[in-house]
Amino acid sequence: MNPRLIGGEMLLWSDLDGAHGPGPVRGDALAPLLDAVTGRTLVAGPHDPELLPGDATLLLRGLVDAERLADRFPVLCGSPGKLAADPPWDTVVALDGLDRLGSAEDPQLPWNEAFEQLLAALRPGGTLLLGMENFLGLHRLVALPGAPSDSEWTPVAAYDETRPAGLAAVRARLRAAGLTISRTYAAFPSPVAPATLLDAELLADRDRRGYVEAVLSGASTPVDDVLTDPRRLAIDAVRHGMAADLAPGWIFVAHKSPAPPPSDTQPGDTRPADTRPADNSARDTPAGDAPSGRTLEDLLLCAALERDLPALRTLLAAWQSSPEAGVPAGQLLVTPDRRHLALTPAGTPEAALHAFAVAVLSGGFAHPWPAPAGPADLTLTLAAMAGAELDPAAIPAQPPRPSLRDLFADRDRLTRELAQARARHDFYERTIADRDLALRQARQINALLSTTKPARALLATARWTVRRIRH
Amino acid sequence: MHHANHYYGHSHVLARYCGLPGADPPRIRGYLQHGWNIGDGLAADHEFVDGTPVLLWSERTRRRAWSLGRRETYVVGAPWAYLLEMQPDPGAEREGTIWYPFHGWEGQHVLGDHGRLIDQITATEPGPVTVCLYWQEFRDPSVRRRYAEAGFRVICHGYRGGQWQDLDPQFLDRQLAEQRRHRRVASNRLCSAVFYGVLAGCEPAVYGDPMTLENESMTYGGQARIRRQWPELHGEQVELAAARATVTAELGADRLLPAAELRRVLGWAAPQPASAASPARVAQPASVAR
Repeated sequence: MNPRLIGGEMLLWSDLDGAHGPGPVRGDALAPLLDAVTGRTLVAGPHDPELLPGDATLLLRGLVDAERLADRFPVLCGSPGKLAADPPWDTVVALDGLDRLGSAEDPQLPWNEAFEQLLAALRPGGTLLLGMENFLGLHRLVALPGAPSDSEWTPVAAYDETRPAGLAAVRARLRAAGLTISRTYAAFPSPVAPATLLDAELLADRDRRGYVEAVLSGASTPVDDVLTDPRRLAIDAVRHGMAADLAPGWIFVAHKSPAPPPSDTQPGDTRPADTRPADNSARDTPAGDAPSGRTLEDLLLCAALERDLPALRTLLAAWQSSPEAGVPAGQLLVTPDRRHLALTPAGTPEAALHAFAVAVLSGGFAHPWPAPAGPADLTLTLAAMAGAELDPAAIPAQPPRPSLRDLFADRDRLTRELAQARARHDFYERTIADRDLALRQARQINALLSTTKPARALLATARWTVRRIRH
Repeated sequence: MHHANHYYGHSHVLARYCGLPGADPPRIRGYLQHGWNIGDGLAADHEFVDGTPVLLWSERTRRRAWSLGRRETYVVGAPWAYLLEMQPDPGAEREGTIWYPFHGWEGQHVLGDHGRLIDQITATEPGPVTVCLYWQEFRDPSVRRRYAEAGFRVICHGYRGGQWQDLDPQFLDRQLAEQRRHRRVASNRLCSAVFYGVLAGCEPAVYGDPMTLENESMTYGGQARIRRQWPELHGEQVELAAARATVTAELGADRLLPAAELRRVLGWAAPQPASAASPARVAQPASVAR
């Protein structure tokens, strides 16, 4: 019988439709992890079915979801507490964590108990892929207040004393449970729909900071209104070595004891293809073949804040005269040997310069340019610093800026600019008055000179005298 | 914006560098620093409208201006440095010293003993001396005569101009031609002319009674502070490499803008295609010495 109702199932409920909560865990970034899953596998909690291996068994609490997927997967529908009836699994996948496993029919289990329950379903030597939301993640730091969803019927998670808080605490808890962690991935920009997974060791690799910044800022474009732009916060987190600690979520690849030591050939020892080591060099770190260097945006901002305008011109000119002129500065690495390495395809140079102008003006930087009228105006100046003249019509319109911080900054800027505009207006008024006076006097003199011969002679004499005195 | 932008033909030089007609420069969107300055780069007696860009010569002045509350600043370098960029030194033979006695500006007077200064110049300078007077002093025959009778050649570079009257677009060209005739540049106060001379290839010297300027402001520390801050430019003989490094920085000659950027900063439109060819490197007609 498929789906098999194991008890605790919710008859009028779907996690996958996204109407009662954040929807399933999803995103192409997860595919390499799930593709590498082997053995008898249980996938617990809401996951995008398109990502799952065809022979996996699903554990879903909502009957609507269970029936929808029953023709594609073996499905167990109900509470994880009823799993004990099944033999333990080679691999358990719970990328959504433990918070959406329990049914409304049962009391909400403390994290600790839910974890033990899931772990009991894993055979010794088996592999656990566990996701975990970070309640101090960047996604929460920039979020505006929201209403609780239908799925948060017992919204205690952040205050659950048994739930390990912080990356170090989670790792310690997994180890205490006899698990060996072979990989820790940080998920950005959200735990439910990560656009990228980066190995925690890569995040801590100073040499590859530029690559990490580019990937994280590229993955962190806000889609909703936010307090502040998460891209800048992500870059600052990388700079301070805090990116793993402030990641919106983590995914742990862990092996239950007794397990053979993890290696590249072990089942479940999965890692995204883009961070796999390129060769057998001694430095076999999870940083893999991620290139080293800094982003051009980082270098440009550094030169701008340092007020090193010559360096800024050199960087801009090298960028804008290269084939990568259309690659946004935040997605362009400058390698230690000063080569450009594009991480995204090139657009137009105007769009790339404009993107940097927006980053400068909306990032709250004390930049060196005096009173730019806006990103388009600054774009023209940046091009000019590279020695180029741009067609203003080719500059794209400014994208919407949803950050609340930007709104406050705009309010303060407009207040200041209005005061300055009024001061200039007063200055122009005074200047016009002075010139009116000078014009009137000049016209009076002209009128006088054009009418009388003696006056003309007198003026000629005066001019001659002035010339004599001066020379 | 401000009429002082046209002092000494500064705006004219920048217009030429930008590939625009040098005879009639457009209005500059901002205040252009018009002399070497130990304050915020602006003249104390000029009206300042908040929010207007302040275009400064050096990074040091910009830092100081920022500390004094100026925000909309940008380092463009001195017009003099742009002039030299357009007119490379032809390498003609140099001789003697061009000496700039400290002067007041329009409406100011200097109090001091010119006789003693003349004696000191005579005793110090190894070669022929050209004394360059500000136009106020130059038009006073008694002052001119005094220096001439000491055996000095007496010249004047021209008018500073003001309020759009007596503008002198060739002022800096004449000054450059004169300085390039001389091996040394000297004054009794560290001033723009000494900085200019060093950039034009002269060896600097600052010595003698600095004299007193009527109603001189001591806000930024006056002469005592200048001697403390820039000792490498003071003395009858100075260490040339150190002096040149300081001068390059003070005139912003190490950070000149490309013509396209300068036009953007000044608020000037690009030149018409006919006159747009390599504006920064267009050879200028040789300046005429007076």
